[in-house]
Order: sequence, then structure tokens, then C-alpha cells
Amino acid sequence: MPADVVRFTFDGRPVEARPGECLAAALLRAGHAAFRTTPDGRGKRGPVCGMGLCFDCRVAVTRPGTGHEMMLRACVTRAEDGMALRSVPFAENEPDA
Amino acid sequence: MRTGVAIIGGGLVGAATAHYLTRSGCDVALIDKGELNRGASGQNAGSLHFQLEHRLVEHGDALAELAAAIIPLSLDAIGRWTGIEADLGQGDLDIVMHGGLMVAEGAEQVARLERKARLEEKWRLPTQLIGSDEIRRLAPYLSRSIAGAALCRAEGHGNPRLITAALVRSASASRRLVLRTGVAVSRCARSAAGWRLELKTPEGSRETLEADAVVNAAGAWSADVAALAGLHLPVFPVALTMNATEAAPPFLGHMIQHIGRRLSMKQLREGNLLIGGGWSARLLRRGTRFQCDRRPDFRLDSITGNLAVAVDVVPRLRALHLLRSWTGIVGVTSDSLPILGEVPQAPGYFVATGGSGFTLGLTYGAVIAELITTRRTSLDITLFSPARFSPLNMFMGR
Amino acid sequence: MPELRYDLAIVGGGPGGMAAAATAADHGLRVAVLDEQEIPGGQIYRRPFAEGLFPADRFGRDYQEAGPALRAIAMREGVTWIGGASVFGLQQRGEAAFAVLWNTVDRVSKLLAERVLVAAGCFDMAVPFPGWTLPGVMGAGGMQALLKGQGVLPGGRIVLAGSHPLLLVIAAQLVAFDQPPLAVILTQSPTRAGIGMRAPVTALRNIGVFREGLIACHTLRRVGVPIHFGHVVTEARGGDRLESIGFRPVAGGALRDITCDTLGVGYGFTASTELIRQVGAPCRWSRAGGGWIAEHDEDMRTAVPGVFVAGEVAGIGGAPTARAEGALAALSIARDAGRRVDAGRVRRARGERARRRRFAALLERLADPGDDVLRTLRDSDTALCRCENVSVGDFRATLAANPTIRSADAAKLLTRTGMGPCQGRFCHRAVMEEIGALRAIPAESAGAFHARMPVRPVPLAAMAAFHPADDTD
Repeated sequence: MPADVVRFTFDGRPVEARPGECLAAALLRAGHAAFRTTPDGRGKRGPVCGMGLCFDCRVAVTRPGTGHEMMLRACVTRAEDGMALRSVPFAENEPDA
Repeated sequence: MRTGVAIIGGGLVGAATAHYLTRSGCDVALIDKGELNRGASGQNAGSLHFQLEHRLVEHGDALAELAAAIIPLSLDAIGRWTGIEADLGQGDLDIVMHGGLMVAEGAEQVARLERKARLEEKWRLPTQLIGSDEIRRLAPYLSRSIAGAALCRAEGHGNPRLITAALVRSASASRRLVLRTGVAVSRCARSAAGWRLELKTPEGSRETLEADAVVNAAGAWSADVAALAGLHLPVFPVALTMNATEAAPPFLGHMIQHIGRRLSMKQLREGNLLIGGGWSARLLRRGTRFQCDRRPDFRLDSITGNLAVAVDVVPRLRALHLLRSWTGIVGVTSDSLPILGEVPQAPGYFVATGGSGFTLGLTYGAVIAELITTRRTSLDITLFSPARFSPLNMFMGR
Repeated sequence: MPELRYDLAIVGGGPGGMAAAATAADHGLRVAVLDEQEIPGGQIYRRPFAEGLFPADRFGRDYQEAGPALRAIAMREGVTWIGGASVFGLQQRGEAAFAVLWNTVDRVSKLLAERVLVAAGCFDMAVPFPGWTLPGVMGAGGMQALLKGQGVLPGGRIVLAGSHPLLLVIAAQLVAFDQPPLAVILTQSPTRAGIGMRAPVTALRNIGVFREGLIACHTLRRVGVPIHFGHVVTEARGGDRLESIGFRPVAGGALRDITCDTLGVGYGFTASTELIRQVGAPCRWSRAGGGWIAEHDEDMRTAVPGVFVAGEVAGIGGAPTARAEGALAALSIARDAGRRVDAGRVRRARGERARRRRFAALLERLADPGDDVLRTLRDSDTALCRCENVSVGDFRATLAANPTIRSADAAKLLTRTGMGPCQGRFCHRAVMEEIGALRAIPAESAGAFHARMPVRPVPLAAMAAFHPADDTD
């Protein structure tokens, strides 16, 4: 039975998306204008080109069942149940599997 | 025009030679048919690797012994790279020497590391074998499959984009340097007073340069340049591939190599990871001639193969994207050892090429400068002398 | 995806690529169409991710009809639609055949094709100005992508600024979504924006975006959205996100503020020619027509045998131009492949193309903000390269300290501009302009950033897991 809402988290906070919606749209609707902090730690960035070319909308995503994070473009990635997003990847220097 | 030493090749080795020569009071002309740093010097990943590499120790003990003879040069290089920023006084040159780890997977590879370590110890290269517990602590980003590693604390990386320019600036400041870029050497012959070179611009204008000595620091082009003087140098162009990932927050503090697979990896201060390790690209050819002035073609399997090793060794690379791959050409000698020294059949003609030209580039420059100015070297470079090619060159020259 | 050999691979499933696919299928060719989106449409006809997000006629009749039409093409016999595919490289294999390298998030794949048509479209031209990296500042095209593709308003207090009549159209669409923009700020005078022109009125009516722009103006006036002609946004301000913008008359004058959270910027478009350059086909510089655009003959052939182009990559021209060129390219390809092609059809296709390009040229002239206006927007703290955070000031200082640097590639090595994930798409124009200004040479002589495979970033894990089935080339 298809769900009528997709649930994921962003920096630990719950976000709801419509089935088929992209992460960028869901995050914007939830009031998040920025999806990541720049590697130097100083800037915040959000979506700009909307078509997957600028890479400014990229966000650290752990997809369910994969066990590892990936930097994915929020504007071309569909929201899926159980995704965990972070605005800063590798925030802690944790040991790898 | 008259100069003391004409250096053919404006990469790291040529620039370093110019720096040390001008500092000793020599007049130098540095010549390159393109822009400075255009060849391997500017295309490589900047690794400063002093441990004996996988490719040198994998073909049996006798060859490994021979390869270990490079270690005295490596020890000299450690000192020079450590001090070069202070030496040049031009500020930060992005030189990082925080340690390198050569990793091993499985017992057989660990045994190889041990044999390598014994060889290095004989030649006094400071490396330390560490086991999996210590690896977990020191480098938690490494895969659980890593069973052991050899740590060399001096290893790391330099910045190919900065070092050559800095050396040239230093040489220029001495007022003893004449720079000729975009200029090819079209003739190189002995004259009564030393050597006479003819330089030619693409537009066709010519200039004659008289020099007491010539240094062939032409990297992948060394053989062609030597041919101008009627000499054989068995230096062959080989095309390699390098990869860069998008930037990540800092997590990889060591320069990583592998004893059993082709891998070299480091993280730049901007955050990108550079991944290489001697994976081939395809030189373009016209008939029987390899075209060293054109970018080699990619081999897709070199990129995928290289990245497969990288992801195996550092699993969190799976988070990142490959951002760019590029190919470059290095000069490789017939026996993988550098060619350093004066050609006996051509007095005043010196060669500095081959081997690990980036890691040892400062050392090559210093050694050749010392040889030219004092007629001797503090390091023993007999093994690397062009004299070993006398069987070829005794029939050559004028 | 099995490694099949196709007669033709088309990169880009927008109006140009799909018109080509239809024409190619008409002639019995086996065609693969690759696009990053799941369903055909490209940008102008980008489809919503689900039905019912907005009324079907929200974006006009042309858009409404395009959806089913393009889907029908994708389902035709002989056409293989590959959605969700990012094409990152073309490799020539031997004399006449290409490997098309593409990836999804998890997988790299390769397909083989005798010929390739690149109809990869365009993206919002990047114009650096103070504060342009703040979250909330986006391209006009980016805003459209959210509206059309996601049915989402990008913010609550929206301003549109730039030089392209498309901004008026987007403004009217925002009105339809019940979120009228706070203002539309156009560098052009009303005449230049095509609003006040009397002649050649017929020509303008043929350019859809102008026609729609006129209609949009009426809508905007009706609901009271101010349109500031002859003005330019000079700064975006905010802490962690956009909070306000400053704007003034183009010719200079008092700065006014608007409190807002979203700014849609539209100064024109940049053609996506990276793949074309990567495979070795020459491009020429068109300052107001898309930047580096592909050179081609009257049959849409590039100088690389087997590589064809259509649409924006050959010069910004909109959907009708792309359709005409896609069809024309496919006719040429069909002829090359030994199919019987009706000479009349070719003649008509050439004529349609010529007509469309004439209108496109007119649009180009009218939508051109003039580089002087744009170049003066940036100050030394402005980010020149967004990805690597290289400021205009630092870039200029490095170039001043290294007088031999005259090419974009050389500048890239030393300053790191162009070394980020966008691979120079959003900074190369400004980099070229800066080099041109500092060295007193034409901007285009600095050249493009060398385009290499991968022309798009590829997930490392996918690349590492790929085993090229055979590498006998």
C-alpha cells in the first residue's frame, strides 16, 4: 500500500515529503533554506540551479540499508523513508566499518 | 648570449637546479619550449614518498636491493623538503609532511612490508611497522581489512602548482637567471668554449646561446633533448592517470600507499582527495612516434581500477564524487633509476632526470649544482651516472 | 543495462532531443535517449513528479500538450528512454562509434552508439554579485524547476531580477500559485524588454517568451506587482540566508531595499557544451547567445564525425528552435545511416530552423543585459568561484602577481577557480571576463576550462564498481 507521506530526518529533525518529491522541495517547504555548510565551515548553501549542475544543494545523505553517507544533490534526489540527512558530513572522526 | 649553465627543462628539476646554481654564483639560462611546470611537474599529485614503492620491491630481492640505493637521495630529500619554505622565504608553499602509511592486506603483504623494512633499515630510512591496533588509533579511516602498515613520518605532499614557481622566483631574485619560455632548443653542440645552443621561437626567430655547461632536465622529453646533442638517453614517456574527488572536511592525515596494490592517496588542504598510484593512460601515437605534446587518452579501466582500490582501503570515500581525472606523461628510465651526472662522452653535458622526479627534484637540483660548481658531490651518485649508458654513447657524440 | 549498440544516442530528453528521437524513429533507427530526469521534458517542459500538484493549464497550453507528446515519443518502437541518467563522458571507439558513459547514484554504465546527438540544453547564466551565495538566491531556471517539477514555491517573499523576459513569465506563474513576487527588477527599459515596442511586432509575437511576457505584464499590473524597468539588483544581504536585496537604477542612483527571502536571478543562459568539447568538437564564443556554443554545419554536424548537436548547445534559442534542429539533425543522421530521407522534408526542416534562429537572434539582442552592467556588479569580496570560495579580490591579486597567466586553465591551476563540483560551469564566464579585463585581451581568448571526462561528478563508489566489459579500444 503506497504511503501518502515520506519521512526523513535533517540534522536529526523530522521532515515530511510527498511521495516522489525531491529532497530540496521537501526541505524548502519545511523552512530549511540551507542544506549544508561549506567545507571551510563558514558558509551556508542551498539550491541554486535546480537542475543538478551547480552542486550547491548537495547534502550528506545516509540512505536506509546502505550504512554510509553520500553527498547527494537534493534537487535531483527523491526523498525516501528513513533517509538521514546532515548539513555537515564527517562531522565526527568516527571509525569506519 | 653567453651564460654559465643552460638548463633545458622548466619543470621542478630544472627550476631547482637553477635555484641552487644561482645561489652558488652561477649565471643560468632556464629554457622551456612551453610554459614552466607544464609537464609531469605540474600534472603529478605532489606525493613526497620516501618508502620503497610497491613497484620497486615486487620483482624480487635483487632488484629491490638495487632500488634501495635511492634511499640516500631520499634522506637528502627529506631534509630539503623540510627546510625549503624557510630556505626560499616566500611564505607558505603548502608542504605537508605529517607522515605516510604504506598499508598491507593479508599476511603475505605484511611479510613484504617486513622485508621492505629490513632493507630500509639497512639504508637508514626511518620507518616503523605498526599493527592493526595502532592503525585503528592512528588512522581510523582505514578499512578493517588493513592488517599492517609501515609508517614513515616524513612522508606527505608538496604542491606542484607552487614549488616550481617559487624556485624560479628565488633564482630570478639573484639576478643571475635568464628565463626563456615558449622557446625550443633546435641545436645543441660542443664548441670551443663549451656548448652552443640554438633557440627557436614558434614564430621562427632564433637566438644563439653559449654556455659552459648544459643540464638536461627535460623529463619525458629527455631522450629527444639528448638526441640534439647526439646522445642516447634511455628515457621513455609513460602516460599515467590521476583522479581528484570533491572536497571533504579534513579526515585523511597521512599520505597513503599500498604494498600490494597500486594506490597513492592524500587529502589536500582544500579538502579534495587525490588518488593515483601508477595507473596507465594511453599515449597518442603518430606512426611509430609517441606524441608527448598531446594529452594522453584515458583508459577507463585505469580510473575504475584505481578507485576500486581506493574505496577498499578508505571506505568513507563512498560518500564522495569523482570530480576530475587527468592524464600526464612522466619520463621513465630503462632501469627505473634516475640519471644523474655528467655524460663522460660529452664533458659539460649533465643530466638530471628519471626516478621519482617530484619527491627527489630538489635533491637532483642540488646534486647537479654541486657537481657543476665543485666537480664533486657529497652524495654518492655513481650508481645513477649516465656513464652506465656508455655502451650506447661510446658510439655517439661528435 | 546491457551493452547494446544503438544507431544513435541522444544526450538530453528535452524538446530538441525528443524531436530528434521521433524523426530518427520515423526512419527506423534504433535510438537511446538519456536524460537526468525520470521523464522527458528537459527544463522548459519539466513535468511534475506527480499528477495533481497544480492545474494542468497552470503553465500554458504549449506546456500542457508537450507532456503527453514527449511521453509518446519515448514509448515509440525503436526509442529506448533512459531516465535518471547523468552522461559524464563520450569516448570514441575506432573510426565510427562512441561509448556513452553515464551513471545513476549507484551505478556506472556504458552504451555504444554509431552516432551521438548532444541536445544537453542550458542553465542559468551565473552572474557574481555581492551576497549571491546566500541560501535563497537562486537562478530563475532553478525557480522554474521547483515550480514545474515539484509544485513548490521556493519561499514566501520572492523577488525576481535580471534581464530576461522569462522573469515576467515566472512572476505571472507565481501569481497563479498565489504567491505574487514582491517586485520584478529588469535592467532593460520597457522598450528593450519588448513591452513597449511597436515594430517588428509580428516578429515578437513569434517568440513565445515575449508573447507570454506581454500577457504576464498585464497580469502583474492587475495584481499590483511592481515592475522596475531600468534597475539592477546590486546586493543580496543576510546572515545564514537571504534577508533583503538592494537595487538601484542601472545608470546609477539611490539604492532601495526590499526585505525578501528568495531572489530569482535571470540574466540569460549558458549552453551546456562540456560534453561536446570533451569529445573534441570545436565551440565558438557567443557572448549573449550562451557562451561557448557548438560549431556545426547546416546539417547540424560538428567537426567530429558522428557527433551532432541541436538546440541550446548550438546557441540559446528556446524550444521551437531546439525542435527544428533536433529534427534536422536526425534527418542528417538517417541519411548518414543509409536510410532513405525525403529531400522535401530536409528542405522544410532547414527552412524552419533558419526561421527559428532568426527569432532567436532577435530575442538574444533584446534580452542581452550588456556585460558592462553585469561586470560592475562584483566587488573584491564577491565570490568569483562559488564552489571553492575564491573571491574576486584574491583572483585579481593572484593574476597581478603572475603576469604570464592568460588562459582560464592557467588561472584555474593557480587560483583554484573551476576546481569545484560544478567544474567551472558557474564561474568560467566571470573568470574569462576578469582575465580579459586584467590583460586587456578579449575575454574569449582566455578560452574555456578544458573539458575532460567526467564532465559531471560521478559517485566514487559507482565508478569503483564499474567493470568496462571490454576495453579493447
